[in-house]
Amino acid sequence: MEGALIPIVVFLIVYAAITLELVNKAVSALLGVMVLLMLHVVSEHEAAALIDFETIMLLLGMMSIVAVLRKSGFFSIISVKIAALTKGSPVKILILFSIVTAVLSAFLDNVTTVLIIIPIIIELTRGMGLDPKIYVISQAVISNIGGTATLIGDPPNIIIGSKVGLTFNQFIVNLSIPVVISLGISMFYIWFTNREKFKPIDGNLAKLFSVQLLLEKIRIEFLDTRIDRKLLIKGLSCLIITILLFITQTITKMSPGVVAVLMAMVLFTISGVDVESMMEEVEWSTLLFFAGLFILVGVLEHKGVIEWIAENIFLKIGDNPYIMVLTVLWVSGIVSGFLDNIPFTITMIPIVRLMLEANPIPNNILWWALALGACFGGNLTMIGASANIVSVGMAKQAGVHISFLEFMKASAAITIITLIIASVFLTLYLWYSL
Amino acid sequence: MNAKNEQTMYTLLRNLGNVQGIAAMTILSLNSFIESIRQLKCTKEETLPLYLELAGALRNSQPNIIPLMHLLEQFETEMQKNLTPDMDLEEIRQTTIKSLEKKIEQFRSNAARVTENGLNYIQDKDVIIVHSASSVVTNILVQAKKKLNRCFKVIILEDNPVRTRQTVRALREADIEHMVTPAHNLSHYIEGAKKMFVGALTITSDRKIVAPTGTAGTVSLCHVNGISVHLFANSLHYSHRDSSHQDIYKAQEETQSANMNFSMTTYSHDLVDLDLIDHIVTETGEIEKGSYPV
Repeated sequence: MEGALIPIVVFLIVYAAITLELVNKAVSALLGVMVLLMLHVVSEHEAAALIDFETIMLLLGMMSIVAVLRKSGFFSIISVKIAALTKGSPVKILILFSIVTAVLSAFLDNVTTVLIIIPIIIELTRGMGLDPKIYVISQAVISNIGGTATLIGDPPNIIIGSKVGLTFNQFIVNLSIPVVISLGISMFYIWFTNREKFKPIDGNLAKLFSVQLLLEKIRIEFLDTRIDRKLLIKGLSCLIITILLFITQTITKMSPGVVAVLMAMVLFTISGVDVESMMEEVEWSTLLFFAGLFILVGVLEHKGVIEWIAENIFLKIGDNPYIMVLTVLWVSGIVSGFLDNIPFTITMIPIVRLMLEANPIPNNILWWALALGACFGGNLTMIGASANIVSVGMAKQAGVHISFLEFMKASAAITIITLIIASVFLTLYLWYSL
Repeated sequence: MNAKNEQTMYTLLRNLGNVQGIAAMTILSLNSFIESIRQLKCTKEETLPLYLELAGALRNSQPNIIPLMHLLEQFETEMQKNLTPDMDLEEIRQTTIKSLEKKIEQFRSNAARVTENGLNYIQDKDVIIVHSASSVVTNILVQAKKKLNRCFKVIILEDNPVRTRQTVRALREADIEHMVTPAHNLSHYIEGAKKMFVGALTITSDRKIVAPTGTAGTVSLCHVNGISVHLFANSLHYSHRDSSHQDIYKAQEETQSANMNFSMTTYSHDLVDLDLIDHIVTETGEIEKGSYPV
């Protein structure tokens, strides 16, 4: 580990700055990279080579497609239709919005999903005289669970998929069972522990009447921006083709990153949208944050720090595959609850790789343990996942204050439940595979 | 109904009224009443008191929605008369829904006749100012172009952004020449304008109209400059109470501007003197200004 002290110190400072939100995430990561460059720990060319461009391309492509879909009014249509379908029933609001959130999160990023869902759910529940808090928390939690099902659903999956070379289909096939079970049980848990708040309103004529007015108000407000049908059709077609190309990845041999950017550029070309304004919708700070982290972790890897952690912490647990899988799952779950799961996943990938080299485990089960742990663990606290932070922030803007403890009170139990479900699933899967 | 539910309902009615206009709001309220009755689960004995409780609460909305009040008064009378003890729950439900559907039909029919009469007030080369165009005013403009092929221009005074967009969309679809300007810039266009069209929430017994905020200033400016002001409102908008009893919503909130804090008082609607209006057009045609209140 010669010359590892500087990158370790820089990495820990950046990690602390990210976790405590002292500085913008992208700025923290890039500032760390700049310090390493300045001190000649790594050269510019070496640093650039450490960036996983596959991940960056996948994120850039999906963000661009989502930007066009948002402009077309697609998300407003979905939100308003779902709001109308609930007819103001609190249980239906929970179930229908949760299903939509889970599906959207699986195919779009979680932050985009909560940006679409949270405003309308606050408007709807508050207008009905309900407390929006539990609905906001439930949608943040559900978006993290739903996003776990696919390669593109959650940043940890994107990173694992790209760096390890796992396909879209492998994610769906291996993760959809624990995700669907976790979704069902989480919704039941939310309902059961708050059943007083989900009482039906169909015996209250005044509330039923207000709900009708409210749905009309939501329809006017959210559909006021003109629906661009042509753009909607083109955007949806490109999204469907993108997903089809992800599914047929083993045949086409095109990586998800190439597919996403290709389809985004095709969509820009055929839709004739103002590309400049669409580019403003892309979260460049997130992309820069990823790039910076790849460099910081890459330097640690080159200096032998990751190998040291793997050998002295994770490889010390022995060669029992069950213990290895459950350790990765629970360590990822608990750490992701308190630290951002993106840098954590980037750090864990080389560690898991070393663990697999020492003790091979079939069917990529150790990778699924990392994915399930990092994604489900994000629900443990308010700061565990970007979707949680964004949801709570939007609620605050709308005058609904959710404290750290209020969030954790509702979400921690769900995290434990989902991690137990994942443990049972992975144990059975491993038992079947060995 | 508790006070919180009542206030939630009034806020929604006010917000929707500002965006949709009072005619659309009246129809929406009646349709929402019908849909709520369809979804309501209660015993036969609870039915009528619940219906009447909601109707009563709606009649006291802030501000009063006079057309809705009149229609609900009629509805309440019909309910007391038509519902008999031998009716089962479904019969009560169907009778109530039919009565409310009749009210919608009545309001639509009145509004359609006002629109029909309003067509006589648009000529070729007219330049017409509209402020917070009601659905009746918008319909008159659209029908004048579509049915009579009149060539005229509309100056839309920007107020509520959503409502302005709705008006612009309607005029654009009907291929009517139009422009949008803030209400406070009207003085720059006053010389070219010939008429002003307004709708009203209410015409009160003390000869005032309750109209969207900003209407009073625009009407006054038009009146001073000799631009004839046309009010299009069916007789359901007439109130038997004076302007001080219309429950116009008044809000007072702390406002910060630069380093100054002050209390700001706002009203949800304006009051306009009926004497500033030159033509009052109803479902029966133009009525004499002096003949009101009838």
